[in-house]
Amino acid sequence: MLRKIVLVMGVFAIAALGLSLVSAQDTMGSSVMVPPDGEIVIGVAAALSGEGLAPLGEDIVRGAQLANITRPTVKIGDVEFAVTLDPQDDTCAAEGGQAVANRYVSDERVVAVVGPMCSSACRAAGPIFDAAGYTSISPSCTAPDLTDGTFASFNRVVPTDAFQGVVDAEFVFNTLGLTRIATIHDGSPYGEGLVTVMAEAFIELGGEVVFQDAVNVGDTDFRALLDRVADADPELVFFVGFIAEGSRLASQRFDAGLDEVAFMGADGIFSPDFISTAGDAAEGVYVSSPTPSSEIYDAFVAAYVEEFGVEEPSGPYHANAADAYNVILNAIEAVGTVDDNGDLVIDRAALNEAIRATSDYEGLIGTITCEENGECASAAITIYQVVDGAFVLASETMQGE
Amino acid sequence: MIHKNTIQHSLYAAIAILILALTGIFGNFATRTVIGESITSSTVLLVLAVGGIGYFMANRAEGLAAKIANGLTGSLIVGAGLVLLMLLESAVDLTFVFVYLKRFPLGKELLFGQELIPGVLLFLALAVLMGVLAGVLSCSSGRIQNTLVMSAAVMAATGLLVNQVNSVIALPDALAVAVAFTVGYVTLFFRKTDTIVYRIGIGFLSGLAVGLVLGGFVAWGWLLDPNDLPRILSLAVESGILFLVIFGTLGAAGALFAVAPANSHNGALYVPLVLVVLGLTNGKRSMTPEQAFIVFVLVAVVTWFMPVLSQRASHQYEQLARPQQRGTRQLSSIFAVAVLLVLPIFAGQYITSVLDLVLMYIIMGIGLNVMIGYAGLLDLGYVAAFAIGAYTVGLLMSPSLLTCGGVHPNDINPDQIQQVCTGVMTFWQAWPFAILTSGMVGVLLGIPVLRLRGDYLAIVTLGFGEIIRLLALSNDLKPLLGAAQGISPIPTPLIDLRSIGINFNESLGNSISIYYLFIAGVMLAAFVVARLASTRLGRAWRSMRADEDVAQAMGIHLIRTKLLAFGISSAFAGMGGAIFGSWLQGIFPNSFTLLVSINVVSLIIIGGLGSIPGAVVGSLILIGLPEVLRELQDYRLLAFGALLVVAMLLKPDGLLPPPVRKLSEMFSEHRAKHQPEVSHE
Amino acid sequence: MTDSQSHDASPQPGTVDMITTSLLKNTLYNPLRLAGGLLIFLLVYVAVTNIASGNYTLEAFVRQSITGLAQGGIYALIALGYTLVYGILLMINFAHGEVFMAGAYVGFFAINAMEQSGMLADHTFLALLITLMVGVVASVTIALLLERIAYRPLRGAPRLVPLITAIGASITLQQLFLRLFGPDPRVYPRVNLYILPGIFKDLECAEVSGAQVCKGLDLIDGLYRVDVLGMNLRIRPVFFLVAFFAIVLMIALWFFVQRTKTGKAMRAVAEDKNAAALMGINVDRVIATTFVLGAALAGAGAVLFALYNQQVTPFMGFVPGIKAFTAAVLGGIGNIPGAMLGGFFLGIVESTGPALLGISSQLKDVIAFGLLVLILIFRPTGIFGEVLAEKKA
Repeated sequence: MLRKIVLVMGVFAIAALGLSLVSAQDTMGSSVMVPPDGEIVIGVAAALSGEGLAPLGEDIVRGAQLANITRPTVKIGDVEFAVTLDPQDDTCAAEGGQAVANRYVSDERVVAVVGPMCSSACRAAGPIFDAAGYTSISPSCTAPDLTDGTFASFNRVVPTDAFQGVVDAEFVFNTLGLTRIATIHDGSPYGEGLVTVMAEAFIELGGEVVFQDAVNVGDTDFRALLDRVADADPELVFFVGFIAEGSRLASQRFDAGLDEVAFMGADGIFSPDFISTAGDAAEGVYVSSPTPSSEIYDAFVAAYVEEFGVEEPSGPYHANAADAYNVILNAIEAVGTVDDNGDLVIDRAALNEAIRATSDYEGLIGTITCEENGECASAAITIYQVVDGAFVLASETMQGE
Repeated sequence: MIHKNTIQHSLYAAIAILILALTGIFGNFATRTVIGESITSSTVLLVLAVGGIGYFMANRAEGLAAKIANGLTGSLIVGAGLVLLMLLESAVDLTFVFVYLKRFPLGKELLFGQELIPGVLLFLALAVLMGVLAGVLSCSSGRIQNTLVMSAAVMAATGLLVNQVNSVIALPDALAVAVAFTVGYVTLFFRKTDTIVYRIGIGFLSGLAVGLVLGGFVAWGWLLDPNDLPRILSLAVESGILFLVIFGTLGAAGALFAVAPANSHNGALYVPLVLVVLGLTNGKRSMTPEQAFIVFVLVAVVTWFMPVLSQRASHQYEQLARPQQRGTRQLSSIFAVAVLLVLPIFAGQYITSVLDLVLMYIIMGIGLNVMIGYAGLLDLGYVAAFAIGAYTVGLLMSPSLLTCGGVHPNDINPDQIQQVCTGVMTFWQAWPFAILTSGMVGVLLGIPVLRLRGDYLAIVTLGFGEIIRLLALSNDLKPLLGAAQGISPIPTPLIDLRSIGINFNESLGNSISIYYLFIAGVMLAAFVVARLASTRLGRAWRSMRADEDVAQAMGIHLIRTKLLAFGISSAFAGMGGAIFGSWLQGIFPNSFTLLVSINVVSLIIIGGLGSIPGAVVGSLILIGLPEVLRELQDYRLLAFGALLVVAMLLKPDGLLPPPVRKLSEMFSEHRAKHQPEVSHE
Repeated sequence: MTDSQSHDASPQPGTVDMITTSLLKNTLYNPLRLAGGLLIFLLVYVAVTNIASGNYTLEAFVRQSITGLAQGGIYALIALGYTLVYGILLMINFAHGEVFMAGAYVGFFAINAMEQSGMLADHTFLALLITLMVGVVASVTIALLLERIAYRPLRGAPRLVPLITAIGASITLQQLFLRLFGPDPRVYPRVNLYILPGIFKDLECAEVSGAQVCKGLDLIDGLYRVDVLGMNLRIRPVFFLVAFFAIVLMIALWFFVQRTKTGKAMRAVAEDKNAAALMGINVDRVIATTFVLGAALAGAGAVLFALYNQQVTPFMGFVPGIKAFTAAVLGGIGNIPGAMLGGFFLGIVESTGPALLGISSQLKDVIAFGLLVLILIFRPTGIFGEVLAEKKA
């Protein structure tokens, strides 16, 4: 018996030793050291698997890759350091966000992260990045409450839903002059969030939301739902979700007699895949997206098409990803120092501050100025319409304040 | 000469590989380097496909010539298939149907940068070479084959995973650990009948000696830059006592496993080896050819001598007296537990988070075993209880309708939330509620399906799982459950011992600290279920599984027994779900898909129904492996599906099925226990 | 499982009477059933108040039922495959949804090739027939491979083992198709198949060189406004085609199982494999035939489904597969007419339920599964399951 007790005590002693090591470890990693021949690693977290999601995630990775190709090094003083990307799959879900965040923080050489892609993943990754002192810039997490001060590490170069929803509502009410809408979302935090903001803004403008509902991801037959929509007699159907459900809704709305009713989506379906999938049914569909319309942007898209051998970008966030990458590099150049050994030293806290101090950076999505809460977008939303199988401008880009 | 099935089976294999090739797998894998710049996952796959089939075919024949002939046939058939596909690809545009060939043309990868015809010839020549090599390898002795295959496998795996596991341990640390262990091991090498205390003592002392020497070197700054010491060696400067204790323990471990059963001996010996390998690749994003060579040689040497060493160790172990043997076993498991406890410190956040997930599924697997393994009730909606546990914790730990006295937190002035939401609990208060709620809902859901059997039960429980998820997701319950936005943030569990006078106030905020909570959960679940299994209730479950009608006739209260199974099983899911919620610091309805239920059912069946070690192994394979195999990226789920099929085909009873105990055995055991003096056969 | 349900597929006369009387008797004495009954009453009450308050009209019900009919027909065609395989092997063929998906995919490549070559426009009916055949053949091939690789070696294994291989096969097939044919949906061309210009004189008319030419009813892509009994309906003939197809195939299948020698052999194998083998029945072959039959129905259903839903994705089979299994259980698994009725019932309930009860369409699956539970409370072996079993006893 005595021996057993001794043994158990031994185990606990070992565990205690271990725990003391943990606390020793926690103090590490407040700055990154890159040796002279080393690489600056920047993570890219986006959904690389899943129906309808992979094209969007791939678009983000490509945007960052293209930015990496055009600007492959960071120059501190007169020393150059190569930058390399580490793309990981965040599956557009909380668990995935948590996994990639853990993946990045356990690799001390990762300097900063572009991503994650979806709001739920951003929410799960936030606390982990916070604890490790990391910094991230999401090109696509649009949930309004992400920048309410909960996460010190979270920055984004995309306008929040709070802005996009209002722009969408104004477009429908003022530009199109419609007063009765129905809203549908796909049950994702993104869809539900944007629809809620849009509906509230629309009612505030004096419009009427005659029907609100949601679909389940993976369902194929939405005719009964659309029939209910038709019964409510809206002038426009506003859907927020991704391509698979969006294209099915767009095609099936004719069966429910919604021929004359306008259909509008958001950035989740802003992709040529939507047009090719929905076919003729995509004609006339409005889509709001933070993707800008400018000359440098067009040049970027041309380079994208050239580089990756595709006809068009597969999603809306490539420009945001590229801007996120460039904002990070600017911040590194601002705070990075070269020590006596020739190592590049980047203080993580200073890096985050430098990102949040970004002002008047001319990015692809517009002029980027960051605020204290990590909100960096130029707050520009453009609304497109599908005409003859392509997205054309339906309104001027709407700038925020 | 050529085995009768060789051609047929090679053709099957070739077809399977061609289908894989059509997915663009070779081009896709080529983007992932394994060794240096030129050897990629694609190379590994090609060697496995062409050479592996050759080896497989060669193994069927006897004699060098026959082996070579069979190996050649296998490799050539697969190689020829790929060549045909490349010719087809160059002649016809396949990219409309097989879209990935557009981005990853087969020829680009497999022609080695040559033109079509010379490339094809080169490829065929390589196939021939691999076939012959496979034949020769198959002809060599088992020990050589074992060594070569093992070394190559470890080398490839290290190269593949180097990106994931590159911050585990620094090389000096790893070497120091390995040296201490080895010295302890070697000290005891030639001693035979020492008592365990003596053995451990000697080992400890030798480890201590190593520690003193190394620590001295480090402290005087002889070996390493004193400003840049790795984690363990830096302790020599910071905390000498701790440093010496660690090294003494390592030496003791070496001494302990020097005389041990073959399995634990081999396992223990691979630990320092793996550490050194990890140390070699520490901080690297890819493996250089030199590193690969060192890894290969290291593993080869250890594997080569392993049979001899393990035979010696187990031989000596068998000569020990019974109490000494028992002591060795106990100490071994204590060391195993200790390794488990210190593991996350080295493994880092990412690997630990994977382990956390594995542990969570172990808890659920053990819980579901009650239902499926013991009671024989097929439950495909286990996620329901999991979700309820998570949501209960989420609702009770954050301001919500429940904790704010029926007022929606959004309607409360943020400054007054503290005053209004008086019901907000800590994790430790909410946890029991979560377990209880899940258990109770499990019973409630069990009531309507009491009379259902087999697959009717399966589909109804599957329905319950979906119902719970959809209710959580639906707009209609948004004020309470938050619809698609879920509940966030949820505070992390906080251990605050200051009220009882200990100055300890630590939040289990990251994957490493919550690991210990998961470990505690697993131990609790394993303990409770293992105990339950041998009680009257456990026997009732098993007899119910065997035959409900007979069980009822024997006086078993079917309703109570079934409902208890539902309740207990669900309670464990709730326990896991609760930790999951606070680990994620938020709850999102999309986490609770059918895939969770399927995973849990699959892992307990793959591990072996009704077996707790089975749940551990199943979870490691089904949950841990796919996470670590992130490098396979797009092919992860495909590998998962194929793994399920193959594992079941090869081991229908699972990997670690519970020992089948015949009634007669149990009876004789019973007699042996109570009448030890009577000998019987 | 020791108690086998009856795999005898014949419907019995007098079933309905037995159901109603036993229902009444059991409901009053069993607290669980009482609760179930009260719940049903509550649902009916909600539905009635919804109708009474004018939130829900008969017109909406009919419209939604028609789309539900088509969806139900698809469920029925898949469910027949589940029920056949279950009846004989007592295993849930979880990969059956993927068999369905495979038919739709391969059918796409066929119809796409014919669209490119112009055959689809010139000989529409023939082209559709070929597409259907191709889809059926693809599904059958996949099903046979499944049976041979994943199920046959495990025939003697514990019951849960084939379930896991089925789940594994399902994931494997999904992922394999995803990796082979890409994640983007493949889109079936819109097909116009005109029939019966003699009867539908005023449909699809166009001015051709000055003369009015009417082509008749567009069976596949047509969408017509019809006023029946004062209800303004929008009808797609293809919905009725699907339902009709499902019923015809079900009847054909039923005759096959009841009247042919192979069908007899199937029933014998379902009763007792060993005895059947002793009687000189080739069990392997009979089981393979069962898979072929089920897969053929799924393949045909898949092509029809894709013809009116256009999009084909690697994941399209999973949800319908689960729904179809629900339908099969609803009807009493192992029972052919039951599976079909279950399919239609589920399809209609899904499309009318949310509006009828005035709840979110997100919850339509909750209604479907909830009804399943309710029905199983009253009839633990499905609508048609138990009566037959009792009779056999």
